[in-house]
Amino acid sequence: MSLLNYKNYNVRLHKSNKVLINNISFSVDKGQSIGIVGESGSGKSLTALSALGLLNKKIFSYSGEILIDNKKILDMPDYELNDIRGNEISMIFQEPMLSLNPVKTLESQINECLKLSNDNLTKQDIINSLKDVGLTDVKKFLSSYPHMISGGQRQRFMIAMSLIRKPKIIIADEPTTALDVTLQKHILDTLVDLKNNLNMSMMLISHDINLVKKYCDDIIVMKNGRLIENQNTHQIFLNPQTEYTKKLVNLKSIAYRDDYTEKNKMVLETKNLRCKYLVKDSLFPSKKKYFQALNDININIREGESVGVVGESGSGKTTLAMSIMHLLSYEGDITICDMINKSKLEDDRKLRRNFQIIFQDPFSSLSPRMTIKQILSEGVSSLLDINNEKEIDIMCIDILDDVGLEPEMLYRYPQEFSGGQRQRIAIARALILKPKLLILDEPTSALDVLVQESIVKLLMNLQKKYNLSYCFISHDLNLIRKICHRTYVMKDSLIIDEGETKHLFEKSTNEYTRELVNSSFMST
Amino acid sequence: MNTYTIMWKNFKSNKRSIYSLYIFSFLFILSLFSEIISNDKPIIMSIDNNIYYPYLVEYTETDFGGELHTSPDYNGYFIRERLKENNNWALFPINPHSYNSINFNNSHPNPSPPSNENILGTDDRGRDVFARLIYGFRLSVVFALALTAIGILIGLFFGALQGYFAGRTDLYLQRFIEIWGSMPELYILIIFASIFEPSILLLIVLLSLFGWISLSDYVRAEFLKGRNMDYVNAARTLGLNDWQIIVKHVLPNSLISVVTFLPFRISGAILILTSLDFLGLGVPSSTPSLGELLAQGKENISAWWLSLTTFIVLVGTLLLLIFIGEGVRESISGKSS
Repeated sequence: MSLLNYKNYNVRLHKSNKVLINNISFSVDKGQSIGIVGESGSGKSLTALSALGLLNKKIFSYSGEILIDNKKILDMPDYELNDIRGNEISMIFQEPMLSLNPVKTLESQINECLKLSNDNLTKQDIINSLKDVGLTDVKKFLSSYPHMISGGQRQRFMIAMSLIRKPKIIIADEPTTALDVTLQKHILDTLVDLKNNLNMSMMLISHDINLVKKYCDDIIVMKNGRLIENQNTHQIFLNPQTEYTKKLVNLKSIAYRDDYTEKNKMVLETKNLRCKYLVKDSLFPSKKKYFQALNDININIREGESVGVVGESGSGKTTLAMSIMHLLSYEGDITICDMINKSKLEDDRKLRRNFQIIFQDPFSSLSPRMTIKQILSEGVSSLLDINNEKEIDIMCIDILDDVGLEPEMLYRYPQEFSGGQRQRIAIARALILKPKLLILDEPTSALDVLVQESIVKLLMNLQKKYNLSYCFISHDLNLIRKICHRTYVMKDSLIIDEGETKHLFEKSTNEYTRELVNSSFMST
Repeated sequence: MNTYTIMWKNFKSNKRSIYSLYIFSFLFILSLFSEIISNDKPIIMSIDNNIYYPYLVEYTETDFGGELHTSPDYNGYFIRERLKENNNWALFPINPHSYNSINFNNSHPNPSPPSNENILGTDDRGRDVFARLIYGFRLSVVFALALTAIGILIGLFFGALQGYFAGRTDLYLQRFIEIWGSMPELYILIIFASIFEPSILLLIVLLSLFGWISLSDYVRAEFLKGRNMDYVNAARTLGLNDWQIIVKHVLPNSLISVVTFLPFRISGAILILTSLDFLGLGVPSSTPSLGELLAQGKENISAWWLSLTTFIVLVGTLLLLIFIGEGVRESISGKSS
């Protein structure tokens, strides 16, 4: 018997009449877990929110039916819905920091669940449920505020909160996207174990089909608001029906890069690089407290080589990028192309043309008030001293061609472009200066999987064309595996492991590296 | 599309705001020509087949065959009699009174109620209320625009300095602003008004000394946000210096808050001028001002034409500005109701 049932469900925007969800039908049986996969904007979160009756009627208009236990929830008044929410169906959101109230203790937040519960739950139930999700020292934990606990603990707490009333269906909307890879596996394992113990149904929403693979019986693929494929997990990987699914499934090419052999000259070398942040200021130097974000970092990159720096958040990866870019003050030596170090750079900013950076979020890295041409030509006039309009035009058009964009786009503004296109523009902005070293700080993590793939291909082509050196900073080991010749592993401000990517991923003796690799490739 | 193009499009879709803007601009532009609309001197005059331009040229009564070597009262008995002779004629403005001219030929005691001669009556010194209203409106708006412009310039400067450089600079400037802002503005105004001869310029200077603080806070916040954006870091890696980054990257993205506050700041400035004039701390009484008219209305409660008309002009102006401001604000947040 199906527990949750979507029948010809449609959602439109009231204002523009844009179709967001187009006639989807599927059902979730008792105890079944189903994965919904699609890129951003494909309507997967909207589908999930609909099941809780959380769509605002003033913004969305919908038709069709959603049944939970044969109860129609779309026309249900709020007071009846409140009975279903939490008791029959509950949801875990992507960003645990945003879904917990920052001014209330965790205890008072979980107590709300008790008050709303139909069963008489006691404090003991809370303690049990927290223990179930792997939280220890429950008493101290309950009296703390959301900002006092780590991201993983927050998400565990969210899971405990949604499961304490033993709902029949649990919806997890990208529950681990905001977390580090090593945590992702633990959290998902916990969630699925609990789900199996309580014999619940689960809807797991993700952009990553390989993540869903391990945990779900069936997989639904959504694109542009349509349900384009609904199959058994095993089947979908063996025999994908649509082109789109095929692309998604085939993304995991496990080839390492081996095209780099000869030892070229050094492009970047750091010696005992240190960087610290002021944590507590004081008039007396002895009372100042610092956080050491980089501790004796020694890395080197040769010409035409891609080097990866991996590690979880807070390990100092981005600080490293910022130091190399001379955007932060640091101690130690950074030598780029045998000539640039701190003192020289201060004298001659033009040396900056030799090294450029690509940021993680293409939405904040382009100034919204400037046309693409203004963005591209800024560095040209300031670092290359070219002010001839015609010359700049030719350079801009050439570089846009390199990154696969059209010359007409020169006079448009960034907000008219998609995330992938913006990232291409950011790459063009850096490459128009013909740098020798390009630092990429999580260049693809804000993008959809298929767009990621195309950006990676673009970067590899450009590397060959211009003999560039790349420094990839990422937590995504799949990306690193595809593109990097060598990799450094960072943890707690230190480099703890390094080596050829293949060697490092397959034969590393370092425990942390192995854990990182295992949790990243758990699904393959 | 440029953000400002989008904003303008959104703004235009809000009927109330766009019409308010049209009406306000129309009235303001009209008031810039107050001298032609309302003046006690004829624009052109013909006496004994000679053409005179009293509006532009200063004549004495002897020029028209009189005895005094002073400027004639063109509404007075002498000129009126002269105009009746020899096909003499004169073209007067629509309202033949200036803001400062006193109607000596009034049959009523001052303040006199609306009549054919003074369509909105006169104040307690015999000056035409209509003339004082349109000159007063113009002065208020020009004053408000000047005060707003100066306030924005100073506010932007300090806000940008604090927000962009942050750290020590921010800390010291913030302390300075706290001290500066805690000075009793009103008392300083009163003291200065008694030391110096009160004038519009003095008022603008004194009010500008304090008016920028509220704006600089917003600009500071915007700059603090902006300086950490990736595009600012990117600009730094492209070798731009601080000045270029501020002007080309942070400032254009911070101006939105300034634009949003613009209409509200203008209406606030009008209100300040009116209040000060009402209290007698503002401009001298020879200057046309809405506040002074209101004060007269309070003194002469029975002269309803004083307070009522001024009230309507004041409320109308503020209302228009607030509607415009509302439209601007909504055009940014993107929701037009």
